[in-house]
Order: sequence, then C-alpha cells, then structure tokens
Amino acid sequence: MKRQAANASWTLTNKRREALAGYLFLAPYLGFFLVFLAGPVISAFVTAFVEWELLRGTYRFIGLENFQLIMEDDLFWIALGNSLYFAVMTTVGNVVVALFAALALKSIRLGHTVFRVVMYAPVVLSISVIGIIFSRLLAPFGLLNAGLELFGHNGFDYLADPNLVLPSLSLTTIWWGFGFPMLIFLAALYAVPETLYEAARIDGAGRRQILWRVTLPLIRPALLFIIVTQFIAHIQVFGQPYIMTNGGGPGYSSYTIVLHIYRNAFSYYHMGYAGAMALTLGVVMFIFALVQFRLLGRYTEY
Amino acid sequence: MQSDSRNILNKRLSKLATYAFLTILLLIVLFPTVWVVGQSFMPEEQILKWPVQIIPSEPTLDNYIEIFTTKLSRQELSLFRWLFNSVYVTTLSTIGVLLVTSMAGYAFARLRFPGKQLLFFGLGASFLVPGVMLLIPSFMLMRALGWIDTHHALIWPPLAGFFGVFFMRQFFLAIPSELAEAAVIDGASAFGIYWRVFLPLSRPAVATLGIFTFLFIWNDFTWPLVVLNSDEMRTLPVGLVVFLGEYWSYQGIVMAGAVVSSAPVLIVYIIFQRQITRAVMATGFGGR
Repeated sequence: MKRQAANASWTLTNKRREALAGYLFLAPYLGFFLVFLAGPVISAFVTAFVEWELLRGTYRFIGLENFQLIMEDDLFWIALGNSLYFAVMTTVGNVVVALFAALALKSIRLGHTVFRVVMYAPVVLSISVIGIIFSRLLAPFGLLNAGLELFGHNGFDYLADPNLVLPSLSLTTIWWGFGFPMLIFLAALYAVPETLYEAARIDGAGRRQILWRVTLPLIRPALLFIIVTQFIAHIQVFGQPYIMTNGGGPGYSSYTIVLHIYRNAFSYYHMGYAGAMALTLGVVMFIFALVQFRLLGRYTEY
Repeated sequence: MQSDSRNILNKRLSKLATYAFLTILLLIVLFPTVWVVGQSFMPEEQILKWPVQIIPSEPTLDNYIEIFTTKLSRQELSLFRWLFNSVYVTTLSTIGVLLVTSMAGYAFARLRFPGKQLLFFGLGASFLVPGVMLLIPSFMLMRALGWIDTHHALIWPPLAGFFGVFFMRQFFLAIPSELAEAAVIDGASAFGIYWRVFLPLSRPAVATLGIFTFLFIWNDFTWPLVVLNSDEMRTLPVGLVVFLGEYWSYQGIVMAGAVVSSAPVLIVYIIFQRQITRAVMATGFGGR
C-alpha cells in the first residue's frame, strides 16, 4: 500500500515535471507566434472595419464602409481580374510543364540528376534577380526577339503590349518556378507501385491510357495540392509587375490586386481600406481553394 | 518476332523523345543564364550590338568593378553594404529560427503535456493565413515597436513561422526512444536530452531547415521593401532593384548586379542540392 502510494506520487511529479518542461520548451516560440502571427491575424480582421488614415491620424470604426468603397473602386476589379487571369495562366502552365518534366525525369537514369538539379535551380533565385533578367530578356532588343529574328520574325515589345504583358509575366514566372511542382510530382510518381503499370501494360493499355487511367488518378492528391497552393501563391503576384512593368503598366494592363493593396497602404496610407481589400482577397482565395478541393477532390476514391 | 523488334524500336524512339524534351527544357533554363553571365563580362559597346551577343569577345571585369566601387545614391555606400546587410540579417534570423522552432518541435514530438494536440493544430492553422493579409498589420506592428527602417523588422518575425516547428517535430518523432531513455537513466535533464541527444542526432534536419530559412529570408522582396526605407539599411534584392533603376541603361552593370546577388544562393543550392531536393519532395515546401 505504502509503496504504491509513493509510486503514484512519484509518477505524478514526474508527469508534472515533463509537462512543465514541455511548456518551457514551447514558451519562446509561443511568444514569437503570439506577437508576430496571432496578433497581426486578429488585427487584420479589425483593420478591415476601420477608417485608418496614417497621414491624418484618423482611426475610427466605420463598419462595412470600406467594403462599399471596394464595390465602387474600378481599379480594384481591374486588378482582381488581372490577378485571376495571371494566376490561372501560371498555375495551368506550371502544372503542365512540371508534370511532363516529372514524367520524363522518372523514366530516365542517365543524366537524371543533372536535369533535375538545373531545372529546380531558378526556384532558389529571388524575384528581384528574375525581374531584372527578364525585363532585359523581353525588351524590344532583348534575347527573345534576337532569337525570333533568326526565324525572320520582327518580334514583339512584350512588356509594353497590353495584350502580351500578363502572358509574358506568366511565362517568366513559370521559368522561375516550375521546378517546385516538378519535384512534388516526381515524389508522387515514385510512390506509385511499379506493379500497377505492369498490370496495365499486360492488359494492353497504351501510353496515353496509362497516363489518364493509372498515373493521374494515383497522383491526384499531389496534383490537388499543387493546383491549390500554386493558385494561392500566384494570385498574390507582386514582385513581377512591381519590377518589370513599373508597377502595373502599360496603363493598368498588369496592375495586380497586391499592387493595388500595396499602393493604397504604403503610398497613400489608407490602412483601413487596404486592409479591407486584403481581407477580401483572403476570402476570395479561400473560396477558390474550397471550390478547387470540391471539383478535384471529388473522385479521390478509386 | 516482328512485333518484338518493333517494340524495341518504339522503346528506343520514346527514350529519344524523352531526352529531346528534357534537353529542350534544360536549354530554356540554361540559355538566359549563360546570356546574363556573358553580358556581365562584356564592354558596353558589345552589349549594344545587334543581333545579341552571347560570348564576350574581349572579357572585362569593368562592370563588376563599377558596381562594387560606385557610391550609391548620395550616401557613401557601395554594394558591399547591401551584401553585408543581407548576410547579417539572414544569419541572425536563421540561427533564431533554428533554436526556437527546434525547441518547440521537440516539445511536440517528445514531451507529454495537457493541451498538446489542441495547441499543435491551433498553431498549424496559421498555415491557412495568406501572406497578403498579414502585410499591413505586420507593418503597423513594426511601427508600434519602433522597428521601421531597422533590421529588427527582418530578423524577428520569421521566428514565428510554423514550418520549422512542424519540420523538426517530424524528424524528432522518428528518433528511437531507446536513445532518450538511456540519457534519462544517466540522469540528464529535459534540456540536456534535447541539447545533447536529439539536436546532434538531427543535424541533417537542422541543416535542411537552416538552408530553407536562409534562402527564404535572403530572397524576400516584399517585406524588406515595405519596412526599410533608407538606402543604408536595405538588403541586396531590394537594393539591387532601387540601384539598378538609376543605372537601367547600362546593361552590363545590371547583369553584373544580378550575378553578384544570385551567386550566394546558387552556391548554397549546388552544395546542398541533395538535401534540398529530398526535403522538398518529403514536405511539399520550398516553392513559389
């Protein structure tokens, strides 16, 4: 009896000590989390409902007025349209290029590492380097037009043509980033058991059939993950037009929603209004992510 | 027989097509890079020639000398200052992230305490918050702290990122518990076990997290653009864009700037490409 009691209290204090250690180990991170992440998240929601003019020093609760302003703000809708267009184009492009690159990489041995290492390399570069290089490459007398001239074509002024500017920024972004989804797809492809391919081949399935009926359904989770995260990342495009098209030119053809938020917050200091736009964009992204999950996740069972 | 040889031929052709496709992709990635490096070593007369030249006929270091010796803006600054700022901010912040998140990851992987699951998922929910929503409130927080135009604004906020906690937790979970038990019998404290058993065993994970954090902070553009406004505080990516704005018409200098600012990350990438590739494939992080 006595020994049992002593044992119980021993485990109790031990348990307490372990819990205390747990909290102590967590404490530094928790502190940073509360200050730099949780705090800003809460204030993001509050900011959307106040009139907050940094220059005049006003700060007052105005309910939904910011959102009414958004409704009447033509530039917001132009910018949102541009960002959506850019995000769809870049996501589709990235997924297609990365998928074929991953399929090709999986089927080769010789030179595999070299191809893989080089194709992922642009991902580690900063947008400022990418922006600088590609605004030169896409200039009227840049590398791309020099290449076209070899085929007797006069080329284009990619970044000054309202119809070409967003596709050009999108191609730049695909060059910069396709290595990342490529690695994710490659990981997913390696996880597909080889026996399934063999079975399909024995059943007489052709190459295209295997891709559509075996490979794609089996890597669906990776595909879904990439489509959703790519879309969310690219709808927030900022650095490309900031650096390459002077902040959204020509006119407003490459003016994106984050540029609009940036300009309202840090050029005009309309903090409340910019905050409301950021929240709206957050909600839009959330809805799109849900829709994508619904549409693509529906047939996950096979 | 006939169908067999046709099969072999088909296989060879498809292998050839695969290599052709990969080679085209490889060239698309490599060609602009070669062109940038080439132009950075060219005198301005050759750069202006049409059609575009790829290989410098008389290689020169003038562009590099120019960007490192010119005084930027009105201050007595050179590109070295931005290089130093980038190294300083990135190093301190990375060390902080490694310490703080590995401790939290250890708690989640190895210690039992009430509310653990709830806390883990609560913190993990921060993954769902898009960056653009945090930009303005974070800026206001920096203002309130008096950190606008200081390096504190770049060093401390990354320590709140959850990725490191998650990443280290996964690694710590995989370490066999016999090792920890042996240390307990030897009378080691909780911190002793973390510091002397788990951290040394997870050197590869710490290195990988360190590289990811380094790349992320080194390359960041939007945040430093927002919180820093004087030339002497800027980091390399933002400084470069501002500086090159003034030199926009000198392409050789622009290209030399691009080479200088990407060389450190490319060197890190080439040295650690195996760890980076493995971590990207295992965790799904590290993209744009």
